[in-house]
Amino acid sequence: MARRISRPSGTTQPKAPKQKRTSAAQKRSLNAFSLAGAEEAEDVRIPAHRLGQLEDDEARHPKRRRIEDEEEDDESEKEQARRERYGSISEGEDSEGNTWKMGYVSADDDSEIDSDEAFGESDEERFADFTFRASSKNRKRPQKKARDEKDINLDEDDEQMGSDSDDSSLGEDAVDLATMLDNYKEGSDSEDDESAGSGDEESEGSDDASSEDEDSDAEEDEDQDKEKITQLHDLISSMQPQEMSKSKQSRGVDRYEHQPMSAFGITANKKLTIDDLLPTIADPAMRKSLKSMAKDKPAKGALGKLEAPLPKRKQDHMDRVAANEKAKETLDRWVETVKQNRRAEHLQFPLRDPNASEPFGKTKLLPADATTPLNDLESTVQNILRESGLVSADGKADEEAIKHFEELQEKKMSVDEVLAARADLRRQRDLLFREEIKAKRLKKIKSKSFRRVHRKDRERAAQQEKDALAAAGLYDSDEDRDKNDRRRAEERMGAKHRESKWAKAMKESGRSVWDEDARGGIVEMARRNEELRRRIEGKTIHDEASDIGSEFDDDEDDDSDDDETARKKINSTLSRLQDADRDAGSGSTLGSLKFMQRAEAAKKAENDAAIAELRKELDGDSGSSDSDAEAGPSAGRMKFGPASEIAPGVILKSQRNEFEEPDASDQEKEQGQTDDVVVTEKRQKKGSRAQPLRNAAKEKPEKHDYVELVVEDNPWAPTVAPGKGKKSKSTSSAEKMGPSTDVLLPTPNGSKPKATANGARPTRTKEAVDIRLTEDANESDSSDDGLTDAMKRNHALVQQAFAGTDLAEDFSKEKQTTIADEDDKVVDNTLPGWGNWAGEGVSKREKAKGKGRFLTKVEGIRPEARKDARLKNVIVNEKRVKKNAAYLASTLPFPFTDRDEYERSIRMPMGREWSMDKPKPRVMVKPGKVIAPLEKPLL
Amino acid sequence: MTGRYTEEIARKKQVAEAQLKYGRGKAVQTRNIRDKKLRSNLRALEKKYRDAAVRAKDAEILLENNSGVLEPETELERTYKVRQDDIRESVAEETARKGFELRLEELGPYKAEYTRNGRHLLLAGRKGHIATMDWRDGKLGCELHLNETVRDAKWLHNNQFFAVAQKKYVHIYDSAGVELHKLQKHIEVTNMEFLPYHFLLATIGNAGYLKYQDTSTGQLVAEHATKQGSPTAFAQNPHNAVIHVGHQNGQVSLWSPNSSTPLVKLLAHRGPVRDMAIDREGRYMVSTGQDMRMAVWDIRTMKEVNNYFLRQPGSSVAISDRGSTAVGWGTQTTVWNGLFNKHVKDQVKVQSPYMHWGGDGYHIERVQWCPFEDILGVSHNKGFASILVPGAGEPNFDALEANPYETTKQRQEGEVKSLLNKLQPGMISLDPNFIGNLDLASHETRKQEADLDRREGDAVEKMKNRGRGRNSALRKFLRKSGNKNVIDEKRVRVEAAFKAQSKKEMERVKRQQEEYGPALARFARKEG
Repeated sequence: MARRISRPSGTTQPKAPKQKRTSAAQKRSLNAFSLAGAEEAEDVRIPAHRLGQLEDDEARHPKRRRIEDEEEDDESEKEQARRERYGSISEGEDSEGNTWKMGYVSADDDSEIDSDEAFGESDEERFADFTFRASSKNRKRPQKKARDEKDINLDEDDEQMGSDSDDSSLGEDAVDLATMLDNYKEGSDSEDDESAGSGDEESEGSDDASSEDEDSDAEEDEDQDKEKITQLHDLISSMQPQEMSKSKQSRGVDRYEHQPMSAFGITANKKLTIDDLLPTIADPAMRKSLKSMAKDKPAKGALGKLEAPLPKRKQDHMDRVAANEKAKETLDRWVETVKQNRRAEHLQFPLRDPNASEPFGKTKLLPADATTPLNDLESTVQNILRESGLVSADGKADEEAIKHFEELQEKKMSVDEVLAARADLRRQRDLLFREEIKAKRLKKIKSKSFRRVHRKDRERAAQQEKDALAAAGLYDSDEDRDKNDRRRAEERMGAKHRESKWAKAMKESGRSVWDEDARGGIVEMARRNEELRRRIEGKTIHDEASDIGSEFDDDEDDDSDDDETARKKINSTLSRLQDADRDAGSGSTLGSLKFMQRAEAAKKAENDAAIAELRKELDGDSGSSDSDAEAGPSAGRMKFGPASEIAPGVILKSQRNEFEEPDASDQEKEQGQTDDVVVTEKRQKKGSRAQPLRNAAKEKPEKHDYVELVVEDNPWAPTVAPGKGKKSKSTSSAEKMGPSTDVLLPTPNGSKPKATANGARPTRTKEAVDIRLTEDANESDSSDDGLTDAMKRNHALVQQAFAGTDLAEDFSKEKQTTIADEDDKVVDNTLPGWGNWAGEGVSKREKAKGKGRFLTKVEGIRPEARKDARLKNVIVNEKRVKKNAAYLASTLPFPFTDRDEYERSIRMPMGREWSMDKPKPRVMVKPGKVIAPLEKPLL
Repeated sequence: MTGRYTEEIARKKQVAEAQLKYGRGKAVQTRNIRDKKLRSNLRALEKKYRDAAVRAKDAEILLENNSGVLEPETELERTYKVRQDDIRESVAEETARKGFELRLEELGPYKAEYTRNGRHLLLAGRKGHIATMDWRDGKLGCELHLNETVRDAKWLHNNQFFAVAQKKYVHIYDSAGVELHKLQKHIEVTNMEFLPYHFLLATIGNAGYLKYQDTSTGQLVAEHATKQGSPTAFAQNPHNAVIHVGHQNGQVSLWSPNSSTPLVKLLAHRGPVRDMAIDREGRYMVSTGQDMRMAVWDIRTMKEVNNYFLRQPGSSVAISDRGSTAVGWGTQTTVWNGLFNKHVKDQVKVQSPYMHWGGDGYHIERVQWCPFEDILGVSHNKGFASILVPGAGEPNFDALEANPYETTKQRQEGEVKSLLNKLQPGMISLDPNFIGNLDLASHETRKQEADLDRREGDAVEKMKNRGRGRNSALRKFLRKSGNKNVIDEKRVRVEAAFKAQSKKEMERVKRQQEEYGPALARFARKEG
């Protein structure tokens, strides 16, 4: 990197590497100082050792570079060790974390630039082991090193550098440019003015000592203070000659001349601290306070300097490490969540926060009183209500507060007064209540009978209108028809028409017999059916007509057809209401509460008005309705007698045959009838061929005995045991006949059933047991016991019948051949004539010799390894079923290590029917939802 | 503390109970598994199994119906003495109505068959009378008079189809009695079984050929010669869809469509096997033989459990969902309870039957239990009787499996679903859980099988090398392969090969002519 600092020193100029020339020239043109320096440098003789040193340095350069690169990569904890290994040459030099200007120097700040500042980072690397003698940086260094315990071994290097960086090479009057610049710059800040150079080491050592002492000093005694003073003196004395020599060597200019003189004549860059003053104070109180002050201060170096910042690279590294740790810590918080989500069988996005509060009352029961707020929201709302005055502070309503207040007031009044007031109150409430009831009744009247009465009127009006329209030729019959059609369709859409499923089901199940609802439904259906029919037939029936029908069932019991009665009823109720009103009004002496009076009056007026209106309407209606009644119900069917009472019953009766099952008494008959209906056609067709199902459901054969268990015929009936000899004979015969019964029964479990059997037949018990004990009877005995003579005869016959074939023997032979077939086989692969002579004329011996030379064994199933090896009368096929093999796994799938594990894992059924949890895909995303990244760890 | 302790104990007890009834076998040892992920997965799986068992146990409260049995009040009372009249009097009217009798005297003997949901009944008279009915409502579905011998009739997967084994062929009819198919490959069929999960109709005829016909695709899946002559009994194991065939020599052979030899042969009787039935769980088989015996077999271990005498050879056996065994012998029918019990190791020999019916002079042709009802259908030579047997039927039904109250829509949906879930014939095996298991066959065995499966070399390539000229193989193929209109891949390849061959030949001839010169060119020959 071609970079040039404004290097004032002529001595350093020749050290510049040649490859930097171009940039050097460029810089030179900009920098007057450097120009001057360059000119001066031509005169200056370069000390050979310096050059050598430089060359040596340059030779070592690449290595150092590499080391540093490594360092950058390596971790911080190894740093120390490495530094020791490599002598930490580079580190020694770039111990300051100053900000450097890199790359170029702008023309304006060129002149003011500090040589320290001009030293870039990369240069730091390049000139790692250089010492810019006069620069303030180097001068600062020793103190810093003293602070920095880690970098302590750098000092050796420094020492070395210091030894060869003496100023002897400079001419008498040569001015170190850096020094000059620094001095010029540092004139203002009275800081670090300790000179570097050859005397560094001593001063440093003393510094070290002093600083260390100072740390402990604060707590120590005065003698130590004294000691300190002596040290201070030593320091001064040690510095003095160097300064002297230096000034002598240079042009005799006092470097500290620009600094103000201190009281002690110390021109060092130390500041006077309290510690320094401590020994001079005699007053113990003052001393104490000062001491404490000193203690409070951070333990500074002897010279009170700030610790130099670390080099930027290192600082960055440490920052990065720290940041990394922080980041890790943050990330670690997510680990559990991520793990859980990865392991989850099913994830549904957006993810539900497991910590999210459930709705109240989902898991726990809530308190019964709802007054106290349960959560934040409720309490907020409560607060708002309270603030706005809707709720009192303790959550009670205002009314209660008023009541409370009144109670308080009552206490002040006399008993009589209170009683009177209460009675009054009660009366008024009563009145209000009555008015309300009245209003309700009025409303009801209006809603039902009133409307019914008025319907005629409307109907008439509509008819008139229609007539008028028809007369004018405007009657739109199509529209009307459409309307009717639509209504019909709607009606059919409903469940209760004849062809509906409901109706069919009703018919089939016969529910209407016992189910009140169902019966009602059927009645309703019949009515609707009728209505539909009417609608289909005649378009003369209008909506209102159907309305009649629909309200027919609502209250057909009171007054469906007679308007007169309705009117009477209404009138009577109205008068009753008014009477009651009057009574109440006469009795009411409205007391103190004005508002009650007013409210009541208003209500009453309203009711009265309503009654009046009703009456008026009724009166106005009566004349026309009478005539209507005379005309008779033109629409709808005719009714005779007390139709309203009977009508549903009639319908029920008529429907009954269709939908219901007949009564239990004639049930059989009915069934026969229905069956007849179903089958007749067929029967006729077939003629005399058959009477298939016709007689199937014949009358119940009452006379017929279903179970005719004659005792002696019943094999399981408890019978008296036959003679002993007979029995033994029978068993033997059974054995002979069925050897299987002996052999096939592998279980020696005879005792249990025998015991029960014996229990059932107490007469025989003893005998049976005896027999068993003596003869060691087998299982079949017990069943033989129950056999009668006839049965035994039968068995004997059977035995005779099957005597010819011994099935068991055949079977065992078959099994033997199968076993032999499937057993291991030895195959002779010898070819006749292979290796010996074949054909005619070869002796038998020769032929026999040729046999059995090439034998191969074909693996089969050994008889003892067969599945049926121990099973008698069973041959199990041992052949591999190839078609089944297609459904087998050829190899063990990956994660499984064991066959059992694998086969167990596939036993979990997948279907919906088999698991309560619906099988879901692993990830489900709710459509239309934005899936935001997780804000915080869920766990 | 103690409360928690007892709670814990109660919980463990509950789990143990659930495991006993609904457990899914022994857990695998996960402790020694190294792979962490596998270990945790398997542990999770075990937990799932446990939970499933506990949940199944918990769900028992949903099984709201329980079955009852007839119980004798005193020691001297016998349940088999109870008559149907007595039962009908004491049960609810609705139930009593389920016991009825059909007198069909002329076209018998009849064979009856219920659908899987127990709703419909199929009656087949030997002389050609076929009737289907919704027996609860007494509604006739269809009625046919086939005018020829009917040997057997079976419902297919629902009440919409049934197959009838007629004089020569098997015919399939729909619910209206319309003949849909004639299965001409099933000749003189005597017995049939329908495997509902595989949609296979298994038939066997007088010649003893067991045939499997896929009723969903219409293909004949398998055809095996039993080599035992005319079969005497035929039944299916509802657990693993293995077909049991009873033979004249007292043997029962177990068949699957996948092997041409029987999976197992057992000698069950000393005479011809008359009938047999297998319980719902596929554990026990009850068979009756001409030797007047009734044998109970454990067909998982292939051991005979018990052997009973009958007074006459049992002509028909049926096992209900709850393990009641009905045996029709002669003119009588007896029902046995507790012939086998899966919960005890040593089966007890039952001393007396549970119920008894018959003796009216009707020869029992077939007994069959009505699913989900306490009803036994007994078909005899004079018709059909439906008798009440308390405690025989499964009281709780799974509507996704078989729904006695299904609507048309449900039936249709169920049909589609069962077709989608149809099992392949290759999945039939004695152990129905074998699917997905590890193949334990040796490498050699598998190699041999693989070799057998290997395809022969390319026919066209072979043809190319075989002969040229007038009678080359290619030319012969083109000439002989018949239908010129059918152009398949092979034909295209052969044509291309032939063309290339002839072109090459022509070139060769041309070259030869040039070589020979104009005078001798005529001797250049096509055949080389």
